[in-house]
Amino acid sequence: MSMRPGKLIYAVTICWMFLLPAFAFGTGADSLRKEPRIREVRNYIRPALSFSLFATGQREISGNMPGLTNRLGQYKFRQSSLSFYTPLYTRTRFAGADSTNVNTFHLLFTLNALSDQPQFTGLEKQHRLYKVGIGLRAIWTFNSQFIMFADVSPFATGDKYDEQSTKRLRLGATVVFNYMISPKFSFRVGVTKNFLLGNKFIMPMFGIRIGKLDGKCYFQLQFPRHTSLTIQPTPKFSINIYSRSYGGLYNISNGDSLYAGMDSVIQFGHFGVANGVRFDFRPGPNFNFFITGGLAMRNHIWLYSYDYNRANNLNPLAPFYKGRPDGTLFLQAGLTFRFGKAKRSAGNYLMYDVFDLNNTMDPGDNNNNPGNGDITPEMQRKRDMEKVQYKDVEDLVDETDLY
Amino acid sequence: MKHVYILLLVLFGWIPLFAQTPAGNTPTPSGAERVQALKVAFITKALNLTPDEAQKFWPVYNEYSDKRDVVRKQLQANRQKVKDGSETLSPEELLRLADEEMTLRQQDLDLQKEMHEKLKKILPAKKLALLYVAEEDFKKELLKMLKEDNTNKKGTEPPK
Repeated sequence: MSMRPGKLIYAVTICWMFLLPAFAFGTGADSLRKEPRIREVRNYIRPALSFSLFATGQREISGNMPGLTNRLGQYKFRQSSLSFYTPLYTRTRFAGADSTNVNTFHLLFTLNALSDQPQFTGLEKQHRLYKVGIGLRAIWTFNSQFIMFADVSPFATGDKYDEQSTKRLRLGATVVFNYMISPKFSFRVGVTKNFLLGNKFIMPMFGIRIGKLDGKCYFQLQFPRHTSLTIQPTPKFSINIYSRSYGGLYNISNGDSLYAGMDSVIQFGHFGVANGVRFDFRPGPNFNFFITGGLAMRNHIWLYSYDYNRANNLNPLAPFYKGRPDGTLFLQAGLTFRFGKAKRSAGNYLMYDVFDLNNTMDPGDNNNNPGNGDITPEMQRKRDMEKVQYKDVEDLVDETDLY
Repeated sequence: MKHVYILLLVLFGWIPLFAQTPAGNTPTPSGAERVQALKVAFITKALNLTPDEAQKFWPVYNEYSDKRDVVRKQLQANRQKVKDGSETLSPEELLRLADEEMTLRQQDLDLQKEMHEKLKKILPAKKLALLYVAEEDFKKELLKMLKEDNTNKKGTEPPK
Protein backbone atom coordinates (compact mmCIF):
# COMPACT_ATOMS: atom_id res chain seq x y z
CA MET A 1 0.00 0.00 0.00
CA SER A 2 1.95 3.00 -1.18
CA MET A 3 0.93 6.61 -1.04
CA ARG A 4 1.91 9.22 -3.63
CA PRO A 5 4.41 11.76 -2.22
CA GLY A 6 2.03 14.60 -3.04
CA LYS A 7 -0.78 12.90 -1.12
CA LEU A 8 1.58 12.07 1.71
CA ILE A 9 2.51 15.73 2.06
CA TYR A 10 -1.17 16.72 2.23
CA ALA A 11 -1.94 13.96 4.72
CA VAL A 12 0.93 14.98 6.99
CA THR A 13 -0.06 18.65 6.75
CA ILE A 14 -3.68 17.96 7.61
CA CYS A 15 -2.60 15.82 10.56
CA TRP A 16 -0.46 18.72 11.73
CA MET A 17 -3.43 21.03 11.45
CA PHE A 18 -5.09 19.03 14.19
CA LEU A 19 -1.97 18.37 16.24
CA LEU A 20 -0.49 21.85 16.20
CA PRO A 21 -3.23 23.51 18.25
CA ALA A 22 -2.29 21.17 21.07
CA PHE A 23 1.31 22.38 20.89
CA ALA A 24 0.57 26.00 20.18
CA PHE A 25 -2.35 26.66 22.47
CA GLY A 26 -2.39 23.79 24.90
CA THR A 27 -0.79 25.67 27.77
CA GLY A 28 -2.17 27.37 30.79
CA ALA A 29 -5.62 25.86 30.73
CA ASP A 30 -4.87 22.69 32.64
CA SER A 31 -6.57 23.10 35.99
CA LEU A 32 -5.12 19.85 37.29
CA ARG A 33 -1.58 21.12 37.03
CA LYS A 34 -0.98 22.83 40.33
CA GLU A 35 2.75 23.43 40.09
CA PRO A 36 3.65 25.57 37.09
CA ARG A 37 6.90 24.49 35.52
CA ILE A 38 8.97 27.62 35.32
CA ARG A 39 12.24 27.32 33.54
CA GLU A 40 14.41 29.46 31.37
CA VAL A 41 13.80 29.13 27.65
CA ARG A 42 16.96 27.92 25.94
CA ASN A 43 16.29 28.32 22.23
CA TYR A 44 16.32 31.39 20.07
CA ILE A 45 15.00 29.51 17.06
CA ARG A 46 11.50 28.13 17.35
CA PRO A 47 10.47 24.88 15.66
CA ALA A 48 8.80 25.68 12.35
CA LEU A 49 6.70 23.72 9.93
CA SER A 50 6.27 25.09 6.41
CA PHE A 51 4.18 24.00 3.51
CA SER A 52 4.20 25.39 -0.02
CA LEU A 53 2.61 24.78 -3.39
CA PHE A 54 4.02 26.04 -6.69
CA ALA A 55 2.49 25.65 -10.13
CA THR A 56 3.28 27.02 -13.58
CA GLY A 57 1.10 27.36 -16.66
CA GLN A 58 1.29 25.00 -19.61
CA ARG A 59 3.55 25.96 -22.50
CA GLU A 60 5.44 24.80 -25.57
CA ILE A 61 8.98 23.43 -25.47
CA SER A 62 11.72 23.97 -27.98
CA GLY A 63 14.52 21.42 -27.91
CA ASN A 64 17.55 20.03 -29.65
CA MET A 65 15.73 16.81 -30.71
CA PRO A 66 12.54 17.73 -32.62
CA GLY A 67 11.21 14.16 -32.49
CA LEU A 68 11.46 13.94 -28.73
CA THR A 69 10.18 17.51 -28.33
CA ASN A 70 7.06 16.61 -30.33
CA ARG A 71 6.57 13.49 -28.30
CA LEU A 72 6.81 15.35 -25.00
CA GLY A 73 4.21 17.92 -26.09
CA GLN A 74 3.47 20.87 -23.82
CA TYR A 75 4.96 21.22 -20.38
CA LYS A 76 3.82 22.44 -17.01
CA PHE A 77 5.36 22.03 -13.60
CA ARG A 78 3.96 21.61 -10.14
CA GLN A 79 5.77 21.35 -6.81
CA SER A 80 4.56 20.78 -3.29
CA SER A 81 6.87 20.77 -0.33
CA LEU A 82 6.78 20.30 3.38
CA SER A 83 9.68 21.28 5.57
CA PHE A 84 10.36 21.31 9.24
CA TYR A 85 13.16 22.30 11.55
CA THR A 86 13.59 22.21 15.27
CA PRO A 87 16.44 23.15 17.57
CA LEU A 88 18.11 20.18 19.23
CA TYR A 89 20.59 22.05 21.33
CA THR A 90 21.28 25.71 22.04
CA ARG A 91 24.08 27.17 24.06
CA THR A 92 24.49 30.78 25.13
CA ARG A 93 27.56 32.12 26.85
CA PHE A 94 29.25 35.40 27.57
CA ALA A 95 32.62 35.68 25.88
CA GLY A 96 35.26 38.17 24.86
CA ALA A 97 37.89 40.00 26.90
CA ASP A 98 35.29 41.85 28.97
CA SER A 99 32.62 39.08 28.84
CA THR A 100 30.17 41.28 27.00
CA ASN A 101 29.76 39.29 23.78
CA VAL A 102 26.80 36.93 23.82
CA ASN A 103 28.00 33.98 21.74
CA THR A 104 25.46 31.36 20.78
CA PHE A 105 25.52 27.92 19.24
CA HIS A 106 22.45 26.31 17.69
CA LEU A 107 22.13 22.74 16.49
CA LEU A 108 19.01 22.04 14.45
CA PHE A 109 17.35 19.01 12.97
CA THR A 110 15.71 19.48 9.58
CA LEU A 111 13.21 17.46 7.63
CA ASN A 112 11.93 17.91 4.10
CA ALA A 113 9.52 16.15 1.78
CA LEU A 114 9.06 17.41 -1.73
CA SER A 115 7.02 16.32 -4.71
CA ASP A 116 8.05 17.63 -8.15
CA GLN A 117 5.60 16.95 -10.95
CA PRO A 118 6.80 17.78 -14.45
CA GLN A 119 3.77 17.19 -16.66
CA PHE A 120 4.10 16.58 -20.39
CA THR A 121 0.88 16.46 -22.41
CA GLY A 122 2.44 13.97 -24.82
CA LEU A 123 3.12 11.32 -22.17
CA GLU A 124 0.38 8.94 -21.13
CA LYS A 125 1.84 8.22 -17.75
CA GLN A 126 3.49 11.12 -15.93
CA HIS A 127 6.68 10.98 -13.89
CA ARG A 128 6.06 11.87 -10.29
CA LEU A 129 9.33 12.77 -8.68
CA TYR A 130 9.98 12.91 -4.98
CA LYS A 131 12.64 13.93 -2.58
CA VAL A 132 12.67 13.11 1.13
CA GLY A 133 15.49 14.18 3.36
CA ILE A 134 16.64 14.85 6.87
CA GLY A 135 19.52 16.98 7.93
CA LEU A 136 21.51 18.68 10.60
CA ARG A 137 22.57 22.27 10.70
CA ALA A 138 24.80 24.14 13.07
CA ILE A 139 24.90 27.89 13.53
CA TRP A 140 27.47 29.76 15.59
CA THR A 141 27.27 33.46 16.39
CA PHE A 142 30.33 35.08 17.84
CA ASN A 143 31.97 38.39 18.59
CA SER A 144 28.67 40.30 18.10
CA GLN A 145 29.20 40.38 14.31
CA PHE A 146 29.93 36.95 12.90
CA ILE A 147 27.94 33.85 12.05
CA MET A 148 29.13 30.48 10.78
CA PHE A 149 26.44 28.32 9.23
CA ALA A 150 26.83 24.68 8.21
CA ASP A 151 24.15 22.38 6.86
CA VAL A 152 24.29 18.76 5.78
CA SER A 153 21.20 17.20 4.24
CA PRO A 154 21.25 13.66 2.87
CA PHE A 155 18.13 12.92 0.88
CA ALA A 156 16.49 10.21 -1.16
CA THR A 157 15.04 10.95 -4.59
CA GLY A 158 13.17 8.87 -7.08
CA ASP A 159 10.39 8.54 -9.61
CA LYS A 160 7.10 6.93 -8.61
CA TYR A 161 6.86 5.67 -12.20
CA ASP A 162 9.30 2.95 -11.21
CA GLU A 163 10.33 3.52 -7.66
CA GLN A 164 12.56 0.49 -7.24
CA SER A 165 15.03 1.28 -10.00
CA THR A 166 15.05 5.07 -9.69
CA LYS A 167 15.81 5.42 -5.98
CA ARG A 168 18.94 7.40 -5.37
CA LEU A 169 20.62 8.86 -2.31
CA ARG A 170 22.20 12.25 -2.65
CA LEU A 171 23.81 14.76 -0.36
CA GLY A 172 23.38 18.52 -0.18
CA ALA A 173 25.70 20.61 1.97
CA THR A 174 26.30 24.29 2.61
CA VAL A 175 28.83 26.27 4.61
CA VAL A 176 28.41 30.03 4.93
CA PHE A 177 30.22 32.77 6.79
CA ASN A 178 28.12 35.84 7.53
CA TYR A 179 29.62 39.15 8.57
CA MET A 180 27.21 41.73 9.92
CA ILE A 181 29.02 45.01 9.49
CA SER A 182 26.08 46.97 10.86
CA PRO A 183 22.35 46.30 11.35
CA LYS A 184 21.89 47.87 7.90
CA PHE A 185 24.52 45.89 6.05
CA SER A 186 25.83 42.38 6.06
CA PHE A 187 27.47 40.06 3.59
CA ARG A 188 27.84 36.33 3.25
CA VAL A 189 30.32 34.09 1.50
CA GLY A 190 30.29 30.34 1.36
CA VAL A 191 30.22 27.22 -0.67
CA THR A 192 27.32 24.95 -1.44
CA LYS A 193 26.83 21.58 -3.01
CA ASN A 194 23.34 21.41 -4.37
CA PHE A 195 21.11 20.37 -7.25
CA LEU A 196 19.11 23.56 -7.45
CA LEU A 197 20.32 24.41 -10.92
CA GLY A 198 19.26 21.07 -12.41
CA ASN A 199 22.59 19.34 -12.06
CA LYS A 200 25.12 18.57 -9.37
CA PHE A 201 27.10 21.70 -8.63
CA ILE A 202 29.61 22.71 -6.03
CA MET A 203 29.50 26.44 -6.26
CA PRO A 204 30.43 29.54 -4.34
CA MET A 205 27.79 31.49 -2.51
CA PHE A 206 27.73 35.20 -2.14
CA GLY A 207 25.19 37.42 -0.49
CA ILE A 208 24.67 40.99 0.61
CA ARG A 209 21.90 42.69 2.51
CA ILE A 210 21.29 46.41 2.57
CA GLY A 211 18.70 47.72 5.03
CA LYS A 212 17.57 46.47 8.41
CA LEU A 213 15.79 43.12 8.47
CA ASP A 214 13.13 44.53 10.79
CA GLY A 215 12.95 47.87 8.97
CA LYS A 216 10.65 49.29 6.34
CA CYS A 217 12.72 48.22 3.39
CA TYR A 218 15.70 46.02 2.64
CA PHE A 219 17.43 44.56 -0.38
CA GLN A 220 19.09 41.18 -0.61
CA LEU A 221 21.23 39.50 -3.22
CA GLN A 222 21.84 35.87 -2.33
CA PHE A 223 23.58 34.13 -5.22
CA PRO A 224 22.59 31.50 -6.42
CA ARG A 225 19.26 31.61 -4.60
CA HIS A 226 17.48 34.90 -4.91
CA THR A 227 17.53 38.64 -5.32
CA SER A 228 14.79 40.50 -3.54
CA LEU A 229 13.53 43.86 -2.43
CA THR A 230 11.34 43.68 0.66
CA ILE A 231 9.01 46.44 1.74
CA GLN A 232 7.32 46.15 5.15
CA PRO A 233 4.69 48.87 5.42
CA THR A 234 3.20 47.39 8.59
CA PRO A 235 4.42 44.81 11.10
CA LYS A 236 1.86 42.33 9.77
CA PHE A 237 2.35 42.68 6.05
CA SER A 238 5.23 42.84 3.61
CA ILE A 239 5.68 42.97 -0.14
CA ASN A 240 8.60 41.29 -1.80
CA ILE A 241 9.73 41.80 -5.38
CA TYR A 242 12.06 38.98 -6.17
CA SER A 243 13.78 36.70 -8.58
CA ARG A 244 14.60 33.20 -7.37
CA SER A 245 15.93 30.02 -8.88
CA TYR A 246 14.30 26.64 -8.58
CA GLY A 247 15.15 23.22 -9.93
CA GLY A 248 16.32 19.71 -9.23
CA LEU A 249 17.92 16.56 -10.53
CA TYR A 250 16.26 13.16 -10.47
CA ASN A 251 16.66 9.62 -11.71
CA ILE A 252 13.60 8.85 -13.80
CA SER A 253 12.32 5.68 -15.34
CA ASN A 254 12.96 5.13 -19.03
CA GLY A 255 9.85 2.92 -19.14
CA ASP A 256 8.32 5.27 -21.69
CA SER A 257 11.52 5.13 -23.79
CA LEU A 258 12.29 8.82 -23.71
CA TYR A 259 15.83 7.67 -24.37
CA ALA A 260 16.15 5.31 -27.30
CA GLY A 261 18.93 3.28 -25.68
CA MET A 262 18.66 0.26 -23.41
CA ASP A 263 18.83 2.23 -20.12
CA SER A 264 16.05 1.47 -17.69
CA VAL A 265 16.85 4.67 -15.78
CA ILE A 266 17.85 8.07 -17.13
CA GLN A 267 18.29 11.43 -15.43
CA PHE A 268 16.00 14.45 -15.54
CA GLY A 269 17.11 17.91 -14.56
CA HIS A 270 15.06 21.07 -14.55
CA PHE A 271 15.73 24.68 -13.77
CA GLY A 272 13.85 27.94 -13.90
CA VAL A 273 13.88 31.46 -12.56
CA ALA A 274 10.71 32.70 -10.90
CA ASN A 275 10.36 36.48 -11.06
CA GLY A 276 7.45 37.72 -9.05
CA VAL A 277 5.77 39.71 -6.37
CA ARG A 278 5.16 38.09 -3.05
CA PHE A 279 2.74 39.17 -0.33
CA ASP A 280 3.62 37.97 3.14
CA PHE A 281 1.10 38.12 5.94
CA ARG A 282 2.09 37.75 9.54
CA PRO A 283 -1.00 37.67 11.77
CA GLY A 284 1.17 36.83 14.76
CA PRO A 285 4.47 35.28 15.79
CA ASN A 286 3.07 31.74 15.51
CA PHE A 287 1.93 31.88 11.94
CA ASN A 288 2.71 33.54 8.64
CA PHE A 289 1.70 32.83 5.08
CA PHE A 290 2.44 34.13 1.62
CA ILE A 291 0.91 34.27 -1.81
CA THR A 292 3.03 35.03 -4.82
CA GLY A 293 2.76 35.10 -8.57
CA GLY A 294 4.79 36.17 -11.55
CA LEU A 295 6.68 34.92 -14.55
CA ALA A 296 8.68 31.69 -14.68
CA MET A 297 11.51 32.37 -17.12
CA ARG A 298 14.80 30.94 -18.32
CA ASN A 299 13.29 27.49 -18.08
CA HIS A 300 15.36 24.44 -18.94
CA ILE A 301 14.77 20.73 -18.90
CA TRP A 302 17.55 18.25 -19.52
CA LEU A 303 17.64 14.51 -20.01
CA TYR A 304 20.86 12.65 -19.34
CA SER A 305 21.97 9.07 -19.83
CA TYR A 306 24.79 8.00 -17.54
CA ASP A 307 25.37 4.84 -19.61
CA TYR A 308 25.61 6.71 -22.90
CA ASN A 309 27.92 9.31 -21.38
CA ARG A 310 30.14 6.67 -19.85
CA ALA A 311 30.31 4.75 -23.11
CA ASN A 312 31.28 7.92 -24.99
CA ASN A 313 33.68 9.28 -22.35
CA LEU A 314 31.46 12.25 -21.71
CA ASN A 315 30.78 14.03 -18.46
CA PRO A 316 28.30 11.78 -16.55
CA LEU A 317 25.77 14.58 -16.52
CA ALA A 318 26.12 15.82 -20.11
CA PRO A 319 22.55 15.99 -21.43
CA PHE A 320 21.45 14.26 -24.61
CA TYR A 321 18.28 16.35 -24.67
CA LYS A 322 18.10 20.06 -23.94
CA GLY A 323 14.63 21.53 -23.82
CA ARG A 324 13.63 25.15 -23.35
CA PRO A 325 10.04 25.53 -22.17
CA ASP A 326 8.62 28.98 -22.94
CA GLY A 327 8.16 31.51 -20.19
CA THR A 328 4.85 31.32 -18.38
CA LEU A 329 2.91 32.51 -15.37
CA PHE A 330 3.30 30.84 -12.01
CA LEU A 331 1.47 30.91 -8.71
CA GLN A 332 2.77 29.90 -5.33
CA ALA A 333 1.37 29.91 -1.82
CA GLY A 334 2.89 28.83 1.42
CA LEU A 335 2.40 28.91 5.13
CA THR A 336 4.55 28.49 8.18
CA PHE A 337 3.68 27.61 11.75
CA ARG A 338 6.08 28.33 14.55
CA PHE A 339 5.50 26.97 17.97
CA GLY A 340 7.04 26.81 21.40
CA LYS A 341 8.77 29.64 23.18
CA ALA A 342 11.99 31.40 22.33
CA LYS A 343 14.44 33.64 24.06
CA ARG A 344 14.13 37.36 23.45
CA SER A 345 15.79 38.56 20.30
CA ALA A 346 14.18 41.98 19.83
CA GLY A 347 16.83 44.46 18.76
CA ASN A 348 19.45 41.71 18.38
CA TYR A 349 20.38 42.16 14.73
CA LEU A 350 22.92 39.38 14.68
CA MET A 351 20.16 36.99 15.73
CA TYR A 352 17.97 38.43 12.97
CA ASP A 353 20.73 37.47 10.52
CA VAL A 354 20.67 33.96 12.02
CA PHE A 355 16.92 33.76 11.40
CA ASP A 356 17.36 35.07 7.88
CA LEU A 357 20.14 32.59 7.08
CA ASN A 358 18.08 29.77 8.51
CA ASN A 359 15.09 30.73 6.38
CA THR A 360 17.09 31.46 3.23
CA MET A 361 18.62 27.95 3.38
CA ASP A 362 15.29 26.20 3.77
CA PRO A 363 15.40 22.53 4.80
CA GLY A 364 16.05 20.37 1.76
CA ASP A 365 17.51 23.28 -0.16
CA ASN A 366 14.46 23.78 -2.38
CA ASN A 367 14.78 27.55 -2.22
CA ASN A 368 11.21 27.92 -0.96
CA ASN A 369 11.98 30.65 1.53
CA PRO A 370 9.29 30.43 4.24
CA GLY A 371 9.75 34.12 5.04
CA ASN A 372 11.24 35.87 8.04
CA GLY A 373 8.14 35.50 10.19
CA ASP A 374 10.36 35.01 13.22
CA ILE A 375 11.76 38.54 13.01
CA THR A 376 9.71 41.05 14.98
CA PRO A 377 9.28 44.08 12.73
CA GLU A 378 10.39 47.41 14.12
CA MET A 379 7.59 49.27 15.90
CA GLN A 380 7.86 52.95 16.23
CA ARG A 381 4.24 53.89 16.41
CA LYS A 382 1.81 53.62 19.26
CA ARG A 383 -0.91 52.35 16.98
CA ASP A 384 1.10 49.16 16.53
CA MET A 385 0.32 48.49 20.18
CA GLU A 386 -3.39 47.99 19.58
CA LYS A 387 -4.87 45.12 21.53
CA VAL A 388 -2.11 45.04 24.13
CA GLN A 389 -3.84 44.20 27.37
CA TYR A 390 -3.01 44.74 31.01
CA LYS A 391 -1.96 41.12 31.41
CA ASP A 392 0.75 41.67 28.80
CA VAL A 393 2.44 44.26 30.98
CA GLU A 394 1.37 43.45 34.53
CA ASP A 395 4.69 41.99 35.60
CA LEU A 396 6.38 45.21 34.57
CA VAL A 397 4.27 47.33 36.87
CA ASP A 398 5.10 48.40 40.42
CA GLU A 399 2.58 50.11 42.66
CA THR A 400 4.77 53.20 42.60
CA ASP A 401 4.09 53.54 38.89
CA LEU A 402 0.46 54.19 39.65
CA TYR A 403 0.90 57.44 41.60
CA MET B 1 -9.05 21.80 -8.15
CA LYS B 2 -8.49 19.42 -5.24
CA HIS B 3 -5.17 21.13 -4.57
CA VAL B 4 -6.86 24.52 -4.40
CA TYR B 5 -9.42 23.29 -1.83
CA ILE B 6 -6.70 21.77 0.32
CA LEU B 7 -4.62 24.91 0.09
CA LEU B 8 -7.59 27.11 1.09
CA LEU B 9 -8.41 24.80 3.98
CA VAL B 10 -4.85 24.84 5.22
CA LEU B 11 -4.50 28.59 4.72
CA PHE B 12 -7.71 29.72 6.32
CA GLY B 13 -8.76 26.83 8.54
CA TRP B 14 -6.52 28.17 11.28
CA ILE B 15 -7.95 31.65 11.46
CA PRO B 16 -10.63 30.90 14.12
CA LEU B 17 -7.95 29.42 16.37
CA PHE B 18 -6.00 32.65 16.32
CA ALA B 19 -9.06 34.59 17.37
CA GLN B 20 -9.04 32.76 20.70
CA THR B 21 -7.27 34.15 23.74
CA PRO B 22 -5.18 31.61 25.60
CA ALA B 23 -6.53 30.78 29.00
CA GLY B 24 -4.97 31.94 32.22
CA ASN B 25 -2.76 34.90 32.89
CA THR B 26 -0.22 34.06 30.21
CA PRO B 27 0.40 37.11 28.03
CA THR B 28 -0.62 36.56 24.43
CA PRO B 29 2.58 35.93 22.44
CA SER B 30 1.78 38.71 20.02
CA GLY B 31 1.03 41.10 22.91
CA ALA B 32 4.29 40.31 24.68
CA GLU B 33 6.13 40.49 21.37
CA ARG B 34 4.69 43.91 20.62
CA VAL B 35 5.63 45.17 24.08
CA GLN B 36 9.20 43.95 23.55
CA ALA B 37 9.42 45.51 20.10
CA LEU B 38 8.13 48.83 21.34
CA LYS B 39 10.49 48.70 24.30
CA VAL B 40 13.43 48.26 21.94
CA ALA B 41 12.33 51.31 19.96
CA PHE B 42 11.69 53.31 23.13
CA ILE B 43 15.02 52.55 24.79
CA THR B 44 17.03 52.91 21.57
CA LYS B 45 15.54 56.37 21.11
CA ALA B 46 15.88 57.40 24.76
CA LEU B 47 19.52 56.31 24.93
CA ASN B 48 20.36 57.37 21.40
CA LEU B 49 22.35 54.14 20.98
CA THR B 50 24.94 54.03 18.24
CA PRO B 51 24.80 50.92 15.98
CA ASP B 52 27.92 49.57 17.71
CA GLU B 53 26.44 50.07 21.16
CA ALA B 54 23.08 48.58 20.11
CA GLN B 55 24.84 45.55 18.63
CA LYS B 56 26.40 44.71 21.99
CA PHE B 57 23.74 46.12 24.29
CA TRP B 58 20.61 44.24 23.14
CA PRO B 59 21.95 40.68 23.34
CA VAL B 60 23.17 41.31 26.91
CA TYR B 61 20.00 43.15 27.93
CA ASN B 62 17.76 40.43 26.43
CA GLU B 63 19.75 37.66 28.09
CA TYR B 64 19.24 39.18 31.52
CA SER B 65 15.61 40.05 30.79
CA ASP B 66 15.01 36.36 30.04
CA LYS B 67 16.68 35.33 33.29
CA ARG B 68 14.72 37.93 35.25
CA ASP B 69 11.51 36.72 33.61
CA VAL B 70 12.04 33.29 35.14
CA VAL B 71 12.49 34.81 38.60
CA ARG B 72 9.43 37.04 38.19
CA LYS B 73 7.27 34.18 36.99
CA GLN B 74 8.34 32.12 39.98
CA LEU B 75 7.44 35.04 42.22
CA GLN B 76 4.02 35.32 40.59
CA ALA B 77 3.43 31.57 40.92
CA ASN B 78 4.38 31.62 44.60
CA ARG B 79 2.13 34.59 45.27
CA GLN B 80 -0.74 32.84 43.53
CA LYS B 81 -0.08 29.76 45.66
CA VAL B 82 -0.28 31.87 48.83
CA LYS B 83 -3.41 33.62 47.59
CA ASP B 84 -5.15 30.35 46.78
CA GLY B 85 -3.97 28.43 49.83
CA SER B 86 -3.63 30.97 52.64
CA GLU B 87 -6.29 29.08 54.60
CA THR B 88 -5.24 25.57 53.71
CA LEU B 89 -1.43 25.65 53.57
CA SER B 90 0.50 24.78 56.71
CA PRO B 91 2.34 27.59 58.55
CA GLU B 92 5.63 25.92 57.60
CA GLU B 93 4.73 25.98 53.93
CA LEU B 94 3.56 29.60 54.13
CA LEU B 95 6.80 30.55 55.86
CA ARG B 96 8.79 28.73 53.19
CA LEU B 97 6.97 30.67 50.50
CA ALA B 98 7.55 33.94 52.35
CA ASP B 99 11.26 33.13 52.66
CA GLU B 100 11.36 32.23 48.98
CA GLU B 101 9.84 35.62 48.16
CA MET B 102 12.91 37.25 49.69
CA THR B 103 15.30 34.81 47.99
CA LEU B 104 13.73 35.46 44.60
CA ARG B 105 13.74 39.22 45.09
CA GLN B 106 17.43 38.95 45.97
CA GLN B 107 18.04 36.82 42.87
CA ASP B 108 16.34 39.46 40.74
CA LEU B 109 18.54 42.15 42.26
CA ASP B 110 21.65 40.00 41.77
CA LEU B 111 20.79 39.60 38.12
CA GLN B 112 20.27 43.34 37.76
CA LYS B 113 23.64 44.00 39.37
CA GLU B 114 25.34 41.43 37.17
CA MET B 115 23.80 43.03 34.08
CA HIS B 116 24.79 46.46 35.32
CA GLU B 117 28.43 45.37 35.58
CA LYS B 118 28.39 44.09 31.98
CA LEU B 119 26.59 47.15 30.66
CA LYS B 120 29.20 49.41 32.30
CA LYS B 121 31.66 48.00 29.77
CA ILE B 122 29.31 48.63 26.85
CA LEU B 123 27.61 51.97 27.53
CA PRO B 124 29.03 55.31 28.63
CA ALA B 125 27.98 56.46 32.13
CA LYS B 126 25.31 58.86 30.91
CA LYS B 127 23.58 56.25 28.79
CA LEU B 128 23.74 53.64 31.52
CA ALA B 129 22.11 56.01 33.99
CA LEU B 130 19.51 56.98 31.42
CA LEU B 131 18.69 53.31 30.81
CA TYR B 132 17.09 52.92 34.21
CA VAL B 133 15.15 56.15 33.73
CA ALA B 134 14.01 54.95 30.29
CA GLU B 135 12.84 51.62 31.74
CA GLU B 136 10.65 53.45 34.23
CA ASP B 137 9.40 55.88 31.60
CA PHE B 138 8.51 52.98 29.35
CA LYS B 139 6.36 51.39 32.05
CA LYS B 140 4.58 54.70 32.62
CA GLU B 141 4.09 55.11 28.88
CA LEU B 142 2.54 51.64 28.67
CA LEU B 143 0.21 52.36 31.56
CA LYS B 144 -0.78 55.65 29.96
CA MET B 145 -1.55 53.87 26.69
CA LEU B 146 -3.64 51.25 28.47
CA LYS B 147 -5.50 53.97 30.36
CA GLU B 148 -6.17 55.88 27.13
CA ASP B 149 -7.31 52.68 25.47
CA ASN B 150 -9.75 51.95 28.31
CA THR B 151 -11.06 55.54 28.26
CA ASN B 152 -11.62 55.33 24.50
CA LYS B 153 -13.44 52.02 24.84
CA LYS B 154 -15.73 53.43 27.54
CA GLY B 155 -16.33 56.57 25.50
CA THR B 156 -17.43 54.62 22.45
CA GLU B 157 -19.72 52.21 24.29
CA PRO B 158 -23.35 52.69 23.36
CA PRO B 159 -25.62 53.87 26.21
CA LYS B 160 -27.48 51.03 27.93
